[in-house]
Amino acid sequence: MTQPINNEASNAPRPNRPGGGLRSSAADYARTAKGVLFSSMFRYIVRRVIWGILMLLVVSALTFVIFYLLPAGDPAAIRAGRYATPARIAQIRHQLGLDRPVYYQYWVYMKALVVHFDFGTSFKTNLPVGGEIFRRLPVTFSVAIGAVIIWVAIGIPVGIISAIKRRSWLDRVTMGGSLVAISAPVYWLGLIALFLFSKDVGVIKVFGGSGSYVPFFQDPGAWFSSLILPWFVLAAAFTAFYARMVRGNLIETMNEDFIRTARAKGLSERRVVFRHGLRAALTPVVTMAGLDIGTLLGGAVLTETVFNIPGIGRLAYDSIIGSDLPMIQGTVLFGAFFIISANLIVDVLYAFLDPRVRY
Amino acid sequence: MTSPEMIERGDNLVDEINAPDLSEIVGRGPWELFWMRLREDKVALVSFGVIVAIVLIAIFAPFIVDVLGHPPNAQYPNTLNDVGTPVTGPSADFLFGVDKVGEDVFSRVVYGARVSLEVALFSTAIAVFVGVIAGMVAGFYRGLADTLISRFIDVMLAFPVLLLAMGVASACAIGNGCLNGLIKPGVPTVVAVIAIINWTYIGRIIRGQVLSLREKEFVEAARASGAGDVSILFREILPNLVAPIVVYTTLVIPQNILLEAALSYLGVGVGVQQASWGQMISDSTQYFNIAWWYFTFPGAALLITVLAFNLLGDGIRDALDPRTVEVT
Repeated sequence: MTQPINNEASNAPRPNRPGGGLRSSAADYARTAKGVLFSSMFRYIVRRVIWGILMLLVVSALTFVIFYLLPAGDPAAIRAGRYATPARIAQIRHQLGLDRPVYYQYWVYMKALVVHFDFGTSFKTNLPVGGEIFRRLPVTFSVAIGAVIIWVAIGIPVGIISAIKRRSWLDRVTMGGSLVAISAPVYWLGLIALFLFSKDVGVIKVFGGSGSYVPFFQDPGAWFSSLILPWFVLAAAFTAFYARMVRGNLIETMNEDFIRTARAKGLSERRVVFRHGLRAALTPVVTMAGLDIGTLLGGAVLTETVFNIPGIGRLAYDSIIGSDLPMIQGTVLFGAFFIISANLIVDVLYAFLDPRVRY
Repeated sequence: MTSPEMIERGDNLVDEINAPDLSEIVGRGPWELFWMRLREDKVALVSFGVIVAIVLIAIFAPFIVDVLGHPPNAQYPNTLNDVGTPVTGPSADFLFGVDKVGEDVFSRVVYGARVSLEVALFSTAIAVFVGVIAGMVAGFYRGLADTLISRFIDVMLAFPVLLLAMGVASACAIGNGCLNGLIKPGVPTVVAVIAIINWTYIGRIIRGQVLSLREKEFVEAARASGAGDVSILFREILPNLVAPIVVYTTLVIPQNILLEAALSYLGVGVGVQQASWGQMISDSTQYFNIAWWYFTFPGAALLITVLAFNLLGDGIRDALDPRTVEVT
């Protein structure tokens, strides 16, 4: 949540501006300018995509190095079982390719990934890593989508109202409450939610409890019921964070000159706030939401753990605890992929929407 | 602290306040203004009091436990029922009830404050130190150093933070620690992990600040009067970075408390020998529907601590720059 906004866009070199020589007509000029704009935009996107792929390569290499230099346990020994002989462990190590140098293992891994889109097989279950992650992707997506809807639907209006009614009791209560929500550990909120509302052991038995997740297409009702608590628990801190962010941005925007101009024109206050103020105040919020969604798609580890939801976050947790290297590598790469993609999409959208961004 | 940049900073602040009648403004330093504003912020003062209380609890944990509880690792099997479920709730003997092995939850919550504060303060200090140095070098020297540091930060920020932290923490938590015993299991590991994933944010912020500061006139003046790079960095630029450093530090301490608790909750924290709030909440999961006290008290302690730091941070930020409503 503290991930700062990626300012890649403002750092990138500037393209050549159009305007060499006189133009015959305004329309001609506009057309040419537009053409140059789009071709340089295209170049910008290509450059960003290449940089993104490079980042993924570096992330994968770093993950490899980190988990080889700092092994949490010998995967071969874990796989061989408790009473295995050293010879048996050595044999398994050879089978897994773990007796080869790190760079060779990395090369084998990347070759399989690039050529066959093969993420390797889990040390623990022997199942393909890619298949396991893709199987869990809808689960993590389900968790993320509901939380996003909640925090956008609640956080933004609350922030707007707080900004308009600044220093009122409503503002104080919501901002105080939001700070509590930001300060509360998500897994603790999860336990409280289960304690109060879960169907199996709760005080008021309404919603699905821990480990009650079912896929949407199997039973939409049960899917919804099982995710209500995780959604609200996961969204709590985000809602609070977005409410505070919207409030801060809007208050700052309302002090700008163009707002004074809009007021001086005689526009109604409602129109000034919603048409002029919000447009500027919400832009960074959209950026932030994009980045947060990207991070969440890599798995909400804590929420998925406390509610026992079989998503990518839970998978990552299990694989790290079990020293399942290919699975760790797979989940880290997926998480990084979503983060980098979200950054890319946000930056490109920015370049499209905001003509001041030089790309 | 009477160098030219202080005067300049003071001028900026006066501009920022946008005072209607400049004649009423007495020459006050920025820190004087800061204290004046902070003193009037009651919420910030109360949270500061709470933080002081928590620090005192952490320091005097043995005495408090001596008077009000039992030793944190002493087990009282008769507080559990036949199948080992903690059935003894809050009572005069066990203020916060007992946990799954019959330990006093109160004592463990009190001792948990130690781990929480220790980890948060040390990891924040290291992260800020490394981040400030890296950011200053990148912003001041630019060129290759900047490219290397900035790109490295980019890569670090592309990592799923919690997975990276869990991986390194679980790797360093066994045997003699990692990097040939340089990072020992327990508190040092958790401190290192949190510092590793945290320095990047401040590195970025400081780099941006230094990039603009290095072009200022007072830097040129210092250079003209023969100051070297090191002297410019530490005597001219660093004092101007104090405000962003303070702001960032107040933002990140509560985050780091939560991060330590999260790592402990996930089982890759300071280890079972030491009482940690996150670890306690994790242990309570099995019994949360029976022993409500087991997860409630450690969580409440965590919430109060983090909230106090957040509120104080808010106050400090507002006092440093009254215009800023939100620093994110």
